[in-house]
Amino acid sequence: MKTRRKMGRREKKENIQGTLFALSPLVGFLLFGVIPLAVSLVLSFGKVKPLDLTDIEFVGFENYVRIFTEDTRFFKSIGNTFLYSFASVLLSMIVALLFANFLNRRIRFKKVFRLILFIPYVCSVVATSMMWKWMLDYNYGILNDVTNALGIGRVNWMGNPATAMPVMIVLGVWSGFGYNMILYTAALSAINRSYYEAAQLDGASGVQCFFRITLPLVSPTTFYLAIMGFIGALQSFANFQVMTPTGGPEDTTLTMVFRVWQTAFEDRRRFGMGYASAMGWIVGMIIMIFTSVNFALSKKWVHYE
Amino acid sequence: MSKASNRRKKIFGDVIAYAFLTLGCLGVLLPFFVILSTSFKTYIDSVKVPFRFFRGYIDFTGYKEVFQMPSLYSGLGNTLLIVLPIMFVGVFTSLLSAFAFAKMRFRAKSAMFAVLMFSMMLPGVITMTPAYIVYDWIGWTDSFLPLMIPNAFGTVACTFFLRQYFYTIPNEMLEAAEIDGLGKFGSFIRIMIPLAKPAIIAQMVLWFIAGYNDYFGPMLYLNTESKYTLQLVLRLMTGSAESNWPKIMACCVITMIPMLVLYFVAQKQLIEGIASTGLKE
Repeated sequence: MKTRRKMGRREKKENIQGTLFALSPLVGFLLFGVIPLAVSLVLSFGKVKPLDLTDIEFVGFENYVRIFTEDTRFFKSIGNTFLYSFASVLLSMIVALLFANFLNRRIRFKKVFRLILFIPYVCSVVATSMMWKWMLDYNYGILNDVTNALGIGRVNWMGNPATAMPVMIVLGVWSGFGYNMILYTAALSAINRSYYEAAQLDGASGVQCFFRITLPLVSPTTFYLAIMGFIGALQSFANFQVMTPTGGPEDTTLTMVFRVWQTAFEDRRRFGMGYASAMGWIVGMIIMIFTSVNFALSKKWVHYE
Repeated sequence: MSKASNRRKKIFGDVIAYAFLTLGCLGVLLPFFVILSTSFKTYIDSVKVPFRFFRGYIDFTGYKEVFQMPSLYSGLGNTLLIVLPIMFVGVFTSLLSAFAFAKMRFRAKSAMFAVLMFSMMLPGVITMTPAYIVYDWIGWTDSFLPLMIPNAFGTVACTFFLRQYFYTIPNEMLEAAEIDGLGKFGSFIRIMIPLAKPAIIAQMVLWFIAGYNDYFGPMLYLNTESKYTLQLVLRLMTGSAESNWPKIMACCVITMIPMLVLYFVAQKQLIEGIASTGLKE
């Protein structure tokens, strides 16, 4: 039975020390997370002169109403972001699981393969975006040599509304699957071999083994990757801004955070920080609701041993 | 099922695995071959179509031009100044916090941990605009401070990872230290830090790579060109009117090399460090 008793001197000391030791990241979150959060909530209900917090005129929900009724670019950015997130997160998990499966076999050069496949993760967004930009260049890019040879002719990859987003998705998978692959490899190697042996004795095929044993047993990893992947992908911005500085052809590569950034920093005079704060809150809410739905759904498909 | 057919199946599976892995590696490496090739070409040849990987010579003009850019050196200096000192401070504060969460008893522990969990789920985009306003208000914009000070308090990801690692260190080690008269802080410094060395190295490498490659933060807060980090310098190169591709690609190569070297040297710690992040709550 647990009873609450008075703490002894040593325990008291540990109580204070422990709290102090643990405090630092929380103080950081309070100062640089909670305070700006509170500020932005207040600002989102007002009209603010550019960069002058003291000059604020409260307008109620006007900013929010205006975003929902007038800002068609913002709406478009929501669709773009979800398209990108679903495609890039799911694809990079599928590719990662596939490669992790291969790496888990008894094969040679395992470490070399792993070493190479993980390289994009340690390269900066700017550098990788620039090299892809060069490969996709309309006039001189290597990819248009390929399409030329195939008889399709040159493609304006980043300038065509039909191709810009698919390119961004491929790029997202290219740079993101390595991280997922490492986590999947760890999860796969933790699976007890005897499950597979038993299944084989029962005459199960490789495909059956994968869907009935592997997939359920790595589901906690899948869940973790999905949660963190979506939180990251729904906030995509830097790679899009480097590849398409203005939001792409017909705004097809304008993401939610890109739009918030545009209103807050490029069109500051027109929209003001209050409007941008409100938009930031809407984006934040969308992501948090999506994350909660993800958590709720996880009870149906994540198996913890 | 016969042994022979099982063997055949295994060989077939291996062939598929090798084929896919090789293709995957080629897919990952192809862009690197392309930029390397372009970086060693003359400007005239770099814009000749069709693309050829090798035109029978190696030209260093692009590299020479990049090494003559003063912004390359100021960019590198600024990057190191922003990332390195805070890396030590931030990893230390994360360590201390992780130690408390893993090995100490205090009343607010679970509540404090829940707040940290929540902060990780919180999308940073909400604070992007207001953080800028607050920093501007206290005069921090166009300085390195917004890129340094928040990280000095330690990061949640780093704390979680190190906490996980501390769990694997048996409590007896600490109890023995306390019998020897070391306090909690003493045993943290003398016992835990040396034991956690591989984890600390992994976190420092990850921290350094993330800081070195960061584009979003510097882009948001730095306006003066002399304060630009390496990534901003690189980004600025495509902004100019005519694109000198060999020079741009040489700059890409030069800025990527330190991270690639670091990755190859520390790959074991790095990959194991990452592999252990997603496993348990």
